[in-house]
Amino acid sequence: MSLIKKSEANSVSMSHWHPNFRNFERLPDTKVVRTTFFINVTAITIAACLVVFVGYRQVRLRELNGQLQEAQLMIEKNTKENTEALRLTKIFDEEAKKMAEAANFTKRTLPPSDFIIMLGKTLPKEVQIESADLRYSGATGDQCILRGIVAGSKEDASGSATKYIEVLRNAPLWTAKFDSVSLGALNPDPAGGFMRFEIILKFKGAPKEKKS
Amino acid sequence: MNGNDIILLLKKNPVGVTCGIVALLCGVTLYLGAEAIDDSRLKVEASTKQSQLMINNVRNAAGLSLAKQTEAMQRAVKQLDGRLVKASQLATNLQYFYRLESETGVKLTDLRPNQAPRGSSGFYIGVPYTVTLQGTFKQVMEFLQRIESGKHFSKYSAISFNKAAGVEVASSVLSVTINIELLGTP
Repeated sequence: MSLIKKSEANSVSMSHWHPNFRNFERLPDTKVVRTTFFINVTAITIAACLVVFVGYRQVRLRELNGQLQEAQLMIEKNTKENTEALRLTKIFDEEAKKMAEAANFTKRTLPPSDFIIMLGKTLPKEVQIESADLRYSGATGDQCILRGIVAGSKEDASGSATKYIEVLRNAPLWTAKFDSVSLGALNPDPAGGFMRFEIILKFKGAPKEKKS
Repeated sequence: MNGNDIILLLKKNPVGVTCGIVALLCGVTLYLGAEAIDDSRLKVEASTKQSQLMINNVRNAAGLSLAKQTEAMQRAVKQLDGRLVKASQLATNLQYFYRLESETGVKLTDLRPNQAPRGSSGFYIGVPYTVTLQGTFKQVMEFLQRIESGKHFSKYSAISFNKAAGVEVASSVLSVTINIELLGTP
């Protein structure tokens, strides 16, 4: 008995080993949602997005091509009339330039005949104009220099000359055409009992003289 | 992996493989047509712009009666050309002043053509003359007004009025020196 008990005590417990013959590749996917489902859904989503994007681009391209054709048609339709319009415009511009050049040439600050009439309207009895120089161009710009004599004693003559200048400065006819009226000189004439004067009138738009 | 394995894989994942092929085709299409839309858009913009420009040109030309206006402008320029002097035709040009002399009664004491400015960039040039004349106030005024509104276009450079030398003041004879340019062609 003792021998039998001893042998039981010495016995080793062994697990029930057996080889694993399962082929996992062939076994069915037993998860609740199969992995293949996720893979397929992802693949379909990506493919669908790409297809939609490509489709959208194709539609857009077709639209653009349609617009291009439409524009080309309009160009073809209007080419003849446009060429004619451009030709006429070119001719018109060329002729207009000629007219403008001629108009610019004849543009007068103040025609001399008008100036003489203006002078006659404002000339007082005691003042006599001996010369008038009108310069329509030059370094000092358009200007007029009037030279003449004023009758009377020195005192009276200088007063008359000043009065005459005031008339020229204030007469609307003159202020419309001249920027400035200034007395250049007023000297007694050695030969007679009168004063010689020089009046400088600057046309409107004439450059101002630089003061040194 | 041999052919059988591939076929097996295809058979096993038909959806995935199909989607992969579709994606690949889409990628190739996108790659090949990457700049097609931009190119087309640029072409459309250029063509539309050109088309709109042409439409505006045609519409404006029609609205403004450009043909009629051009015709009128051409007629006006033709008339203008008829009033120009030719710098080379000295005798004809001087005749203009002599005719004015005989018509107004002034006396031309000097009549000289001056050197025309060179290198004019415009269509026309000013043909310059110096005219010295004597006459009564009325004659001189008529002479000036005839020049200002005469056949030829004119521009004064300078004009000087003086009492005629050796003539009594009471007679009102004026001596006038005019620097004038007549609009013309070389």
